[in-house]
Amino acid sequence: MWKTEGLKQALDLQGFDVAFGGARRDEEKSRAKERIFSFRTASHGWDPKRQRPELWNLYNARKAKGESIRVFPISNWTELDIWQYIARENIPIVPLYFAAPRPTVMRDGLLLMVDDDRFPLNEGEVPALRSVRFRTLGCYPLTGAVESEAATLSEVIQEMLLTTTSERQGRIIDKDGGDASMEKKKQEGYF
Amino acid sequence: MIDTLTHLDRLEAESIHIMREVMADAVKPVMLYSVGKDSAVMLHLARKAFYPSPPPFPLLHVDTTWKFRAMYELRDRMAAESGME
Repeated sequence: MWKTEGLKQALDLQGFDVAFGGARRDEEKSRAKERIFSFRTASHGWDPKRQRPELWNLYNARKAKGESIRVFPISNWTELDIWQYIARENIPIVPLYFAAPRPTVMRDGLLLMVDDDRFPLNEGEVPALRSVRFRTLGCYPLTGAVESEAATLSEVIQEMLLTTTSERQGRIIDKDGGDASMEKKKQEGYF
Repeated sequence: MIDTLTHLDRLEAESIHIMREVMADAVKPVMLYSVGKDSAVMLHLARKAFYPSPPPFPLLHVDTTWKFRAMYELRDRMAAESGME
């Protein structure tokens, strides 16, 4: 919620008309039906029923007055493509994507990392050292890790080839109840 | 080994095409940068798309102040390296 509000405020303040985002179709089901050019109303709302057809690679970037566009240039990439490209191009990434022993607690089915002393521990919770890595990174009290031994790029790619779950299952923020998935957040202006 | 995977070249070409297409019509564009792996790839593609100039837009990081410490370190390094705001 903070993220959505902060995003909308920043876009309004600077008057940006186009915002590139790194969302991908394979992350989550409401992102799967998203266009590459996603049109938003003046108040940043997303109406999945008022989007434009995208035939082959012909894009229509003309905006109506007050509209803004979110553009997703890597929409068609999969998580595996991302990792293979990072390996090929030597792109620097946060070390949290690689497995290492980290202090963690298990809470509501999520494995949370205790990053610094701001982490609010519940009564009776004792951080335990586990070998974990992150498939996705958000705010640390809300992002779950996965138990993993993959400490290098090629090991991560190997793990990716065998996985059967979506990376966003580790995000508390995506759970807005029932089947709504991220769609509700997107309508409110998230990307 | 990974150099022979041509599907990555196709994806790269598509993303670069999209970015250049956007620039034709955009008045004031911005790139959302979350310091994650997808942002890292997107920024890398943007630098390729407009090379040798730096990408013609600033980066915007929506900082909730609750990000992992390692994320702040990489963010500051990448902004300096790419010559972007």
